[in-house]
Amino acid sequence: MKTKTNNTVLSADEAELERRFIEVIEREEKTISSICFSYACSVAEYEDLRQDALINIWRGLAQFREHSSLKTWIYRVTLNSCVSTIRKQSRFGKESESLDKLYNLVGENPEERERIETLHVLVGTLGAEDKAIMLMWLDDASYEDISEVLGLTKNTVATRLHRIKEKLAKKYCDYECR
Amino acid sequence: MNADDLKTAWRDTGSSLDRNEVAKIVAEQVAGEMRKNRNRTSLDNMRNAYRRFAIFAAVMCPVSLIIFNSSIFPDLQMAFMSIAFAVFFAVTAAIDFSFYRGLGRIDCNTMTVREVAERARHFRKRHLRVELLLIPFALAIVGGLAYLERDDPYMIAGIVTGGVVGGIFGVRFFMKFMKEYKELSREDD
Repeated sequence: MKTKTNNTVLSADEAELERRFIEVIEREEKTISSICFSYACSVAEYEDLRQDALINIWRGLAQFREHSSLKTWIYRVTLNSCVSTIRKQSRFGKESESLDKLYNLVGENPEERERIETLHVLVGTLGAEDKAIMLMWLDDASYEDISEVLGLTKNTVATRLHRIKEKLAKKYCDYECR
Repeated sequence: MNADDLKTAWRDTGSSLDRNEVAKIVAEQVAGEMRKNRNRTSLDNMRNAYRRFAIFAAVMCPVSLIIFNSSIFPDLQMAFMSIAFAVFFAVTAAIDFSFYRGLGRIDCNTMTVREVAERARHFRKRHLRVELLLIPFALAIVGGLAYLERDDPYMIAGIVTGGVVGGIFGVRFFMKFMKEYKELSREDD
Protein backbone atom coordinates (compact mmCIF):
# COMPACT_ATOMS: atom_id res chain seq x y z
CA MET A 1 0.00 0.00 0.00
CA LYS A 2 1.32 3.42 -0.86
CA THR A 3 0.74 6.66 1.00
CA LYS A 4 1.11 10.15 -0.37
CA THR A 5 2.98 12.60 1.86
CA ASN A 6 3.96 16.06 0.67
CA ASN A 7 3.52 15.03 -2.98
CA THR A 8 5.79 12.02 -2.53
CA VAL A 9 4.48 8.49 -2.77
CA LEU A 10 5.75 6.32 0.10
CA SER A 11 5.69 2.58 0.56
CA ALA A 12 3.83 1.19 3.59
CA ASP A 13 7.14 0.63 5.45
CA GLU A 14 8.35 4.17 4.79
CA ALA A 15 5.01 5.63 5.84
CA GLU A 16 5.05 3.53 9.03
CA LEU A 17 8.62 4.63 9.83
CA GLU A 18 7.69 8.25 9.31
CA ARG A 19 4.60 7.89 11.48
CA ARG A 20 6.66 6.27 14.28
CA PHE A 21 9.36 8.92 13.96
CA ILE A 22 6.91 11.81 14.28
CA GLU A 23 5.18 10.12 17.21
CA VAL A 24 8.51 9.58 19.01
CA ILE A 25 9.67 13.15 18.45
CA GLU A 26 6.37 14.65 19.61
CA ARG A 27 6.61 12.59 22.79
CA GLU A 28 10.31 13.11 23.55
CA GLU A 29 10.85 16.63 22.17
CA LYS A 30 11.34 18.15 25.64
CA THR A 31 14.09 15.69 26.57
CA ILE A 32 15.85 15.99 23.20
CA SER A 33 15.73 19.80 23.15
CA SER A 34 16.79 20.18 26.79
CA ILE A 35 19.80 17.90 26.34
CA CYS A 36 20.90 19.69 23.14
CA PHE A 37 20.39 23.08 24.82
CA SER A 38 22.62 22.03 27.71
CA TYR A 39 25.49 21.08 25.39
CA ALA A 40 25.18 24.20 23.20
CA CYS A 41 26.88 27.58 23.52
CA SER A 42 24.97 29.34 20.78
CA VAL A 43 21.63 29.17 18.96
CA ALA A 44 23.34 27.78 15.83
CA GLU A 45 25.04 25.05 17.86
CA TYR A 46 21.74 24.16 19.61
CA GLU A 47 19.98 23.84 16.26
CA ASP A 48 22.84 21.77 14.81
CA LEU A 49 22.90 19.42 17.81
CA ARG A 50 19.15 18.95 17.69
CA GLN A 51 19.23 18.32 13.95
CA ASP A 52 21.99 15.72 14.46
CA ALA A 53 19.97 14.03 17.19
CA LEU A 54 16.84 13.87 15.02
CA ILE A 55 18.78 12.49 12.06
CA ASN A 56 20.38 9.78 14.23
CA ILE A 57 16.99 8.90 15.73
CA TRP A 58 15.53 8.53 12.23
CA ARG A 59 18.44 6.33 11.14
CA GLY A 60 18.23 4.12 14.22
CA LEU A 61 14.47 3.86 14.53
CA ALA A 62 14.09 1.34 11.74
CA GLN A 63 16.55 -1.02 13.52
CA PHE A 64 15.38 -0.30 17.06
CA ARG A 65 14.23 -3.48 18.72
CA GLU A 66 12.70 -3.27 22.15
CA HIS A 67 15.73 -4.68 24.02
CA SER A 68 15.75 -1.47 26.02
CA SER A 69 13.00 1.10 26.56
CA LEU A 70 12.49 3.71 23.88
CA LYS A 71 13.17 6.52 26.38
CA THR A 72 16.55 4.99 27.30
CA TRP A 73 17.41 4.67 23.62
CA ILE A 74 16.46 8.33 23.00
CA TYR A 75 18.80 9.38 25.83
CA ARG A 76 21.59 7.29 24.28
CA VAL A 77 21.17 8.65 20.75
CA THR A 78 20.72 12.30 21.81
CA LEU A 79 23.64 12.30 24.25
CA ASN A 80 25.86 10.50 21.73
CA SER A 81 24.94 13.04 19.06
CA CYS A 82 26.02 15.82 21.43
CA VAL A 83 29.29 14.27 22.68
CA SER A 84 30.42 13.16 19.22
CA THR A 85 30.26 16.71 17.85
CA ILE A 86 33.45 18.71 18.02
CA ARG A 87 32.42 22.16 19.15
CA LYS A 88 33.31 24.98 16.80
CA GLN A 89 35.34 27.55 18.69
CA SER A 90 33.42 30.83 19.04
CA ARG A 91 35.12 33.85 17.58
CA PHE A 92 37.19 35.56 20.24
CA GLY A 93 35.01 37.84 22.37
CA LYS A 94 31.76 36.61 20.85
CA GLU A 95 31.02 33.88 23.41
CA SER A 96 28.89 35.99 25.77
CA GLU A 97 26.94 37.42 22.82
CA SER A 98 26.21 33.89 21.56
CA LEU A 99 25.10 32.77 25.02
CA ASP A 100 22.75 35.75 25.40
CA LYS A 101 21.04 34.84 22.15
CA LEU A 102 20.81 31.22 23.32
CA TYR A 103 19.19 32.26 26.60
CA ASN A 104 16.67 34.35 24.66
CA LEU A 105 15.13 31.03 23.56
CA VAL A 106 14.07 30.22 27.10
CA GLY A 107 12.41 31.78 30.10
CA GLU A 108 9.93 34.44 29.11
CA ASN A 109 9.78 35.31 32.77
CA PRO A 110 13.02 36.72 34.29
CA GLU A 111 13.04 34.40 37.31
CA GLU A 112 12.68 31.32 35.13
CA ARG A 113 15.38 32.60 32.77
CA GLU A 114 17.80 33.18 35.64
CA ARG A 115 17.27 29.62 36.94
CA ILE A 116 17.79 28.16 33.46
CA GLU A 117 20.86 30.32 32.87
CA THR A 118 22.41 29.30 36.19
CA LEU A 119 21.79 25.62 35.48
CA HIS A 120 23.28 25.98 31.98
CA VAL A 121 26.41 27.70 33.34
CA LEU A 122 26.88 25.11 36.10
CA VAL A 123 26.35 22.13 33.80
CA GLY A 124 28.67 23.78 31.26
CA THR A 125 31.58 23.36 33.68
CA LEU A 126 31.25 19.55 33.54
CA GLY A 127 33.04 17.21 31.12
CA ALA A 128 31.00 15.46 28.43
CA GLU A 129 30.36 12.25 30.42
CA ASP A 130 29.66 13.98 33.74
CA LYS A 131 27.26 16.26 31.91
CA ALA A 132 25.45 13.23 30.47
CA ILE A 133 25.11 11.67 33.94
CA MET A 134 23.85 14.93 35.39
CA LEU A 135 21.31 15.58 32.63
CA MET A 136 19.84 12.08 32.87
CA TRP A 137 19.58 12.43 36.65
CA LEU A 138 17.85 15.80 36.22
CA ASP A 139 15.41 14.12 33.84
CA ASP A 140 14.60 11.58 36.62
CA ALA A 141 16.26 8.66 34.82
CA SER A 142 16.95 5.64 37.05
CA TYR A 143 20.51 4.66 38.01
CA GLU A 144 19.98 1.54 35.93
CA ASP A 145 19.15 3.58 32.82
CA ILE A 146 22.07 5.93 33.43
CA SER A 147 24.48 3.02 33.83
CA GLU A 148 23.15 1.35 30.66
CA VAL A 149 23.41 4.49 28.54
CA LEU A 150 26.76 5.62 29.89
CA GLY A 151 28.34 2.15 30.01
CA LEU A 152 29.20 2.40 33.71
CA THR A 153 28.26 0.26 36.70
CA LYS A 154 25.50 1.51 39.00
CA ASN A 155 28.02 2.05 41.82
CA THR A 156 30.19 4.17 39.56
CA VAL A 157 27.16 6.21 38.53
CA ALA A 158 26.24 6.80 42.18
CA THR A 159 29.80 7.80 43.11
CA ARG A 160 30.22 10.09 40.16
CA LEU A 161 26.83 11.69 40.69
CA HIS A 162 27.73 12.43 44.29
CA ARG A 163 31.02 14.03 43.19
CA ILE A 164 29.27 16.02 40.46
CA LYS A 165 26.74 17.44 42.92
CA GLU A 166 29.54 18.46 45.29
CA LYS A 167 31.42 20.09 42.45
CA LEU A 168 28.32 21.97 41.30
CA ALA A 169 27.57 23.16 44.83
CA LYS A 170 31.06 24.66 45.01
CA LYS A 171 30.77 26.17 41.52
CA TYR A 172 27.41 27.67 42.46
CA CYS A 173 28.99 29.44 45.45
CA ASP A 174 31.73 30.82 43.20
CA TYR A 175 29.14 31.84 40.60
CA GLU A 176 27.01 33.67 43.17
CA CYS A 177 30.02 35.47 44.59
CA ARG A 178 31.18 36.90 41.23
CA MET B 1 20.90 25.83 44.27
CA ASN B 2 19.88 22.53 45.80
CA ALA B 3 18.75 19.36 44.00
CA ASP B 4 15.11 20.52 43.82
CA ASP B 5 16.14 23.87 42.34
CA LEU B 6 18.26 22.12 39.72
CA LYS B 7 15.36 19.86 38.75
CA THR B 8 12.97 22.83 38.63
CA ALA B 9 15.39 24.67 36.34
CA TRP B 10 15.63 21.55 34.16
CA ARG B 11 11.84 21.27 33.89
CA ASP B 12 11.67 25.00 33.07
CA THR B 13 14.22 24.45 30.27
CA GLY B 14 12.12 21.68 28.74
CA SER B 15 8.86 23.62 28.99
CA SER B 16 10.38 26.80 27.52
CA LEU B 17 11.91 25.01 24.56
CA ASP B 18 8.70 23.09 23.97
CA ARG B 19 6.81 26.42 23.77
CA ASN B 20 9.12 27.67 21.01
CA GLU B 21 8.80 24.79 18.62
CA VAL B 22 6.12 22.74 17.00
CA ALA B 23 7.68 19.30 17.33
CA LYS B 24 5.55 17.70 14.63
CA ILE B 25 6.54 20.28 11.99
CA VAL B 26 10.24 19.88 12.78
CA ALA B 27 9.95 16.08 12.72
CA GLU B 28 8.13 16.16 9.36
CA GLN B 29 10.79 18.43 7.94
CA VAL B 30 13.60 16.11 9.02
CA ALA B 31 11.70 13.06 7.74
CA GLY B 32 11.24 14.75 4.36
CA GLU B 33 14.94 15.56 4.10
CA MET B 34 15.94 12.06 5.20
CA ARG B 35 13.73 10.51 2.51
CA LYS B 36 15.61 12.54 -0.09
CA ASN B 37 18.96 11.47 1.47
CA ARG B 38 19.76 15.12 2.04
CA ASN B 39 20.52 15.26 5.71
CA ARG B 40 23.98 14.86 7.15
CA THR B 41 25.07 15.09 10.77
CA SER B 42 28.13 17.08 11.86
CA LEU B 43 29.99 13.77 12.17
CA ASP B 44 29.06 12.87 8.56
CA ASN B 45 30.33 16.28 7.40
CA MET B 46 33.59 15.81 9.29
CA ARG B 47 34.08 12.35 7.76
CA ASN B 48 33.39 13.73 4.31
CA ALA B 49 35.92 16.52 4.90
CA TYR B 50 38.62 13.98 5.83
CA ARG B 51 37.75 11.92 2.77
CA ARG B 52 38.07 15.00 0.50
CA PHE B 53 41.44 15.92 2.04
CA ALA B 54 42.64 12.32 1.67
CA ILE B 55 41.68 12.27 -2.01
CA PHE B 56 43.29 15.68 -2.61
CA ALA B 57 46.52 14.63 -0.90
CA ALA B 58 46.56 11.31 -2.76
CA VAL B 59 46.23 13.16 -6.07
CA MET B 60 48.91 15.73 -5.12
CA CYS B 61 51.40 12.94 -4.38
CA PRO B 62 52.02 11.96 -8.04
CA VAL B 63 51.35 15.55 -9.21
CA SER B 64 54.19 16.92 -7.06
CA LEU B 65 56.52 14.20 -8.42
CA ILE B 66 55.64 15.28 -11.96
CA ILE B 67 55.84 19.05 -11.37
CA PHE B 68 59.17 19.05 -9.56
CA ASN B 69 60.75 16.73 -12.13
CA SER B 70 59.48 18.65 -15.13
CA SER B 71 61.27 21.30 -17.20
CA ILE B 72 59.88 23.99 -14.85
CA PHE B 73 62.49 22.97 -12.28
CA PRO B 74 65.47 21.48 -14.20
CA ASP B 75 67.58 20.73 -11.19
CA LEU B 76 68.81 17.50 -9.61
CA GLN B 77 68.14 18.87 -6.15
CA MET B 78 64.50 19.33 -7.13
CA ALA B 79 64.25 15.54 -7.31
CA PHE B 80 64.75 15.48 -3.53
CA MET B 81 62.15 18.23 -3.13
CA SER B 82 59.68 16.30 -5.25
CA ILE B 83 60.18 13.20 -3.10
CA ALA B 84 59.79 15.29 0.09
CA PHE B 85 56.51 16.78 -1.17
CA ALA B 86 55.27 13.39 -2.37
CA VAL B 87 56.05 11.80 1.01
CA PHE B 88 54.32 14.68 2.82
CA PHE B 89 51.18 14.27 0.70
CA ALA B 90 51.24 10.47 0.98
CA VAL B 91 51.46 10.70 4.79
CA THR B 92 48.62 13.24 5.04
CA ALA B 93 46.49 11.15 2.67
CA ALA B 94 47.01 8.05 4.84
CA ILE B 95 46.30 9.95 8.07
CA ASP B 96 43.15 11.60 6.71
CA PHE B 97 41.91 8.27 5.36
CA SER B 98 42.45 6.64 8.77
CA PHE B 99 40.42 9.43 10.40
CA TYR B 100 37.68 8.93 7.80
CA ARG B 101 37.54 5.20 8.57
CA GLY B 102 37.79 5.67 12.34
CA LEU B 103 35.01 8.24 12.60
CA GLY B 104 32.80 5.96 10.52
CA ARG B 105 32.96 3.36 13.30
CA ILE B 106 31.25 5.68 15.79
CA ASP B 107 27.67 4.46 16.12
CA CYS B 108 25.42 6.81 18.09
CA ASN B 109 22.58 4.29 18.13
CA THR B 110 24.28 1.34 19.81
CA MET B 111 27.43 2.54 21.58
CA THR B 112 27.47 3.82 25.15
CA VAL B 113 28.02 7.53 25.76
CA ARG B 114 31.36 6.73 27.37
CA GLU B 115 32.56 4.89 24.27
CA VAL B 116 31.44 7.65 21.88
CA ALA B 117 32.91 10.41 24.04
CA GLU B 118 36.24 8.53 24.37
CA ARG B 119 36.45 7.93 20.62
CA ALA B 120 35.57 11.54 19.79
CA ARG B 121 38.24 12.77 22.23
CA HIS B 122 40.77 10.25 20.90
CA PHE B 123 40.29 11.38 17.30
CA ARG B 124 40.34 15.05 18.20
CA LYS B 125 43.59 14.64 20.18
CA ARG B 126 45.13 12.61 17.36
CA HIS B 127 44.13 15.33 14.88
CA LEU B 128 45.80 17.99 17.04
CA ARG B 129 48.96 15.87 17.53
CA VAL B 130 49.23 15.19 13.79
CA GLU B 131 48.87 18.93 13.03
CA LEU B 132 51.67 19.68 15.48
CA LEU B 133 53.92 17.04 13.88
CA LEU B 134 53.19 17.93 10.26
CA ILE B 135 53.72 21.68 10.65
CA PRO B 136 57.52 21.47 11.24
CA PHE B 137 57.72 18.94 8.40
CA ALA B 138 55.91 21.39 6.10
CA LEU B 139 58.13 24.26 7.28
CA ALA B 140 61.25 22.20 6.55
CA ILE B 141 60.02 21.51 3.01
CA VAL B 142 59.19 25.15 2.35
CA GLY B 143 62.54 26.14 3.89
CA GLY B 144 64.27 23.68 1.55
CA LEU B 145 62.44 25.17 -1.42
CA ALA B 146 63.43 28.71 -0.32
CA TYR B 147 67.08 27.60 -0.10
CA LEU B 148 67.03 26.00 -3.57
CA GLU B 149 65.36 29.06 -5.09
CA ARG B 150 67.42 31.59 -3.13
CA ASP B 151 68.52 33.32 -6.36
CA ASP B 152 64.91 34.07 -7.33
CA PRO B 153 63.87 37.25 -5.43
CA TYR B 154 60.16 36.86 -6.26
CA MET B 155 60.07 33.33 -4.92
CA ILE B 156 61.88 34.41 -1.74
CA ALA B 157 59.56 37.42 -1.28
CA GLY B 158 56.55 35.11 -1.62
CA ILE B 159 57.91 32.60 0.86
CA VAL B 160 58.85 35.30 3.40
CA THR B 161 55.42 36.97 3.13
CA GLY B 162 53.72 33.61 3.56
CA GLY B 163 55.99 32.86 6.50
CA VAL B 164 55.17 36.14 8.29
CA VAL B 165 51.41 35.80 7.78
CA GLY B 166 51.59 32.13 8.73
CA GLY B 167 53.60 32.98 11.83
CA ILE B 168 50.98 35.47 13.06
CA PHE B 169 48.15 32.98 12.59
CA GLY B 170 50.41 30.21 13.85
CA VAL B 171 50.84 31.75 17.30
CA ARG B 172 47.07 32.17 17.72
CA PHE B 173 46.49 28.64 16.43
CA PHE B 174 49.08 27.27 18.87
CA MET B 175 47.37 28.98 21.85
CA LYS B 176 43.96 27.54 20.83
CA PHE B 177 45.55 24.14 20.25
CA MET B 178 47.11 24.05 23.73
CA LYS B 179 43.82 25.13 25.35
CA GLU B 180 41.80 22.48 23.53
CA TYR B 181 44.39 19.73 24.08
CA LYS B 182 44.49 20.53 27.79
CA GLU B 183 40.65 20.34 28.02
CA LEU B 184 40.55 17.01 26.18
CA SER B 185 43.31 15.57 28.40
CA ARG B 186 41.46 16.75 31.52
CA GLU B 187 38.34 14.84 30.42
CA ASP B 188 40.41 11.69 29.89
CA ASP B 189 41.52 11.70 33.55
